[in-house]
Formats: sequence, C-alpha cells, structure tokens
Amino acid sequence: MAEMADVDIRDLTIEYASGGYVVRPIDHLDLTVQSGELALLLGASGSGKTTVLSALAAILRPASGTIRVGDVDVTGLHGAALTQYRRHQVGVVFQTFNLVPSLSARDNVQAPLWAARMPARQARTRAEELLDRVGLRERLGHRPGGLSGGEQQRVAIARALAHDPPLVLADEPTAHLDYIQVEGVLRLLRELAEPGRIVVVATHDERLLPLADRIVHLSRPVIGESRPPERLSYEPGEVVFEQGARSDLVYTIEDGEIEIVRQRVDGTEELLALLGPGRYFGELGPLFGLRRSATARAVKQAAVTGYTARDFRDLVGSARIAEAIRRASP
Amino acid sequence: MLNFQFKDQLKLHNSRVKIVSLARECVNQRSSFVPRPTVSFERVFQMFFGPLHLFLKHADPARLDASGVAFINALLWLVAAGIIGSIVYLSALERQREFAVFKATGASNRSLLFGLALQAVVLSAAAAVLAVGIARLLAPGFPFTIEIPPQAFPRLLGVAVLVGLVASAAGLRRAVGVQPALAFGGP
Repeated sequence: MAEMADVDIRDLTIEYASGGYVVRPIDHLDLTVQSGELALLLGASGSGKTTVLSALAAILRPASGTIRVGDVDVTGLHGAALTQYRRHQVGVVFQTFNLVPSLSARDNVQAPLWAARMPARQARTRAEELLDRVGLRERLGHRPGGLSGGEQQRVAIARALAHDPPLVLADEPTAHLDYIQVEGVLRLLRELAEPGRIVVVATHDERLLPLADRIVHLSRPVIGESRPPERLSYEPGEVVFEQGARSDLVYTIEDGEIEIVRQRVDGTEELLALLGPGRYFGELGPLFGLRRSATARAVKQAAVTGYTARDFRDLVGSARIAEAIRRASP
Repeated sequence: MLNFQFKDQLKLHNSRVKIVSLARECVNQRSSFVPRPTVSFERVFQMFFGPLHLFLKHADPARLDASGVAFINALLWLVAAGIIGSIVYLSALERQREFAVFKATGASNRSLLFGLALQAVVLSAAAAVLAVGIARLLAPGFPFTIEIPPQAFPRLLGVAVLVGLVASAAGLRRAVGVQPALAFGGP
C-alpha cells in the first residue's frame, strides 16, 4: 500500500459525445481527499458522479484538468503504466456488481490476481483471506447466482481489494440492496477508509451522508434561491451562458437579439432559435437543476434581465410554468 | 366363410414368399457391394447420414478419387470454421461487460485475447478428438472401406487448432474493441 496517497483533483472538466452533441457532465471540479477519508460524491442521475469515478479509475480521459493519486498523475498515464495503475492503485466496486456468473465467489476474487500473474496457490489463499474479511468464508464456492445481492456486493468489494489498492471507488453501492444488506455494506466501506486508503463513494442516496468525511454535491438544487433580478447587457458575439455550464438564471430579453446554438461533436454549431425582445430563454436548466443544454449568445447589442428560477416561477405564475416548459426554447 | 378364410390364408402365404424373396435379393445385391456387411451400424449410419450415405453408395468408388474426397474435406472444414467462429463471436458478444470489467481492473488486452483464443483451440481440438472416435465407431458400417493413415490424426489436430484460431478472429477483434467504461453504469 502506498503511504499517504491523497487524491487531488484540480480544475477537472470532462466532455463526451452523446447523440452527436457535446455533453459536459463535469465542469471545473476541484476536490481534495486525504488518506483515511471517505468522500461522498452526491448528485442526481446524470450529474456526473460515475464520470468522476471513471476518471479516477483512469478509464475516462478528462478534457482538461489534472487528477493526482499519491504521486501519480493519472491523466498522463499510458500503456503499461496505465495498466499498472488500474491494477494496483485503484479498486472499483461497480453498481451492478459485475461478477463473472460462471465463476465461484473465490474465483471471481482470484481473477484480478491471475491477471497479475500471481501464483495460483498464493492467489487462492489471498482470495480466501479477502472473502473471510467481508464475512463470506462459508460461501467461497458459491456462484453469483446462488448469492444474495448483499453477498454479491461483498464479493465485489473483496475483488476490488484484491491488490490492496490505496484508492477504492464504489458506484451506487446501495442501489440494488435491501436495508439489511445495506447495513453490512456500509459498515464495510466505512472500515476500509483507514489511514493509507481512500474510499470514494458515488451515490444519489442522501441517507449515506453520515458515512462521509467529505461531501461533494454535484447537482445542488437551485430552485429555492431568491435574489433581485439582474439587468445585464451584452455586445454582439458575447456569450450569456455556455453549453454544459451550471445553470443559475432564467433570462428575458428587453432589447436586441439572442441566438441559441448547440455545439456538435464535430465542432460545428446548430442554430436552435433566434429570439427577440419579450421572449425568455434558459428556463429549463434552473427549473430542473440541469446543466445548460445550449449556448446563448448575443447577435446584436442586447439587454436581458436574469431571474432566479423561483422568481421566474412567481413572474409567470405556477399555472403557466407547465405551458412554459412545453414551449421552452433551450 | 371357410372358403373365404382359406383364400385369405393363401394370399397371405403368397405375399410372404414375395417379401422373403425380395429381401434375399436385397441382401445378395448388397453383399456384392459391401465387403463385410454389419447391419446394425449401417442402419444407424443411414439414419443420421442418409443423404451422404446415398451419395456414397451410388458413387462409383473407382471414380470417387482423391480430388473428390479433398473437395468434401474442404467443405467440411469450412463448415467447422463457421461454427467455431460463430460460437467464439457470440461468446465474446455475450461477455462484453465481463471484458470491460477485466480491462477496467487492469487486465491487458493480451490476456483477454489469450483466454478467448484458448476457448477456440480447446473447442476445435475437442471436436477433432471426438471426430476420430466417431470415425472409428462408424467405419465398420461404411459402404466401402476407408484406410486412414495413422499420421492423419495428429495432422487433423493441428489443422483443427489452426482453423479454430482463424475462425475466432472476429470474436477476438470484438473483445479488443470493448471500452472499459462499459463496466460502469446500470444493468
């Protein structure tokens, strides 16, 4: 185990292509987790929890920013170094367990050890040790099909620990479990966060909050906020908000012209709407706590007023919100 | 009524004589064709390989020369390659999530390839061994004697392994192309 392996994420932005458009689930994220801590990535589905985990596991390459685990610069890894990192520095507990159905619990835990060419006898002993640690000594020979969800999850945890990695990642560890099974898994995850190891858990389940030493909210609801409307003016070509950015305000156009464009993967833009005075735009993001699905840019000199989602709702009346959502320009 | 019975019996007797003589004729004809007729094996053989059997039976053994045998041989190898290829490909398709997990946890491409290729080799080698066994079993019932030189068996094994490997290429390519990110995400 590497000593004092802190996780340090700086200015992390991750983009990927989806349906031909650029999606940016993570936008300028900073995060530091110290050795022995359990960090919770909290957010609704689609808020980028799993994306951050993938980047930490060196499975997804970020568009910009750096990730350091101990003294390894994860974003700069290639080839054999990448394989070594995935194998020895990080253990992942997947949401759906992802055990191999045709292998016994013991063989599932042994698989990563075989991949690292550990002698068979040694791998067997190690797998039995790990399964003993997660409380499955009696179930060594059972296949995943013969284990309960909680037991499968614990086998998955044992497998993640095969190489005793300093960083353990768990994706929605409680998603498919009942409350009795959840207890065992939570206790286990908490135990793992001991000096020399970091546990990062991604979840949408706020009940896990007491588990954490450190909490990162990836989608904080903005609907409740209220602050005075802001009057803003833009020069031609100036951007009001950018696709993928966190949504804060809903805008109405007082004067000028605003174009709404969506960025395609190939670098081109698709014009979605051209809006003049009296129209509003950017209402869905703040209302639902979603990121901006398009860029808004001034075509001519423009004056707009920005409202919080709550004020916007008061402005148009909650009865007309449904209508507004139906006819929304992005 | 008595009249009737007698007539019927006579008829029955006549037809019996006919059947027996027909059967004798058959056996005679066959014995001139087959050097050592062992009926039970031939029956089994006919049941499973009826059309092939017919073809072989009516083919003139003198005219069924080396090139004809080679042609059938090549065809059968092609079929075998198709079957092995599709088994390995489907297996790779079904186990994409598994491959993704292995990759995400630091298994090299090479080790995944080795596993799949091993599957293909074991499959084809086992098929070859089984084929040798079946050939031995069926040989007595074959319409004409076929001599298999002993060195053909190791050669068969070698060719089988080679065909298995070539056939599994598509499946192997599929496994290499799997994105490790597939391991994340829901069911």
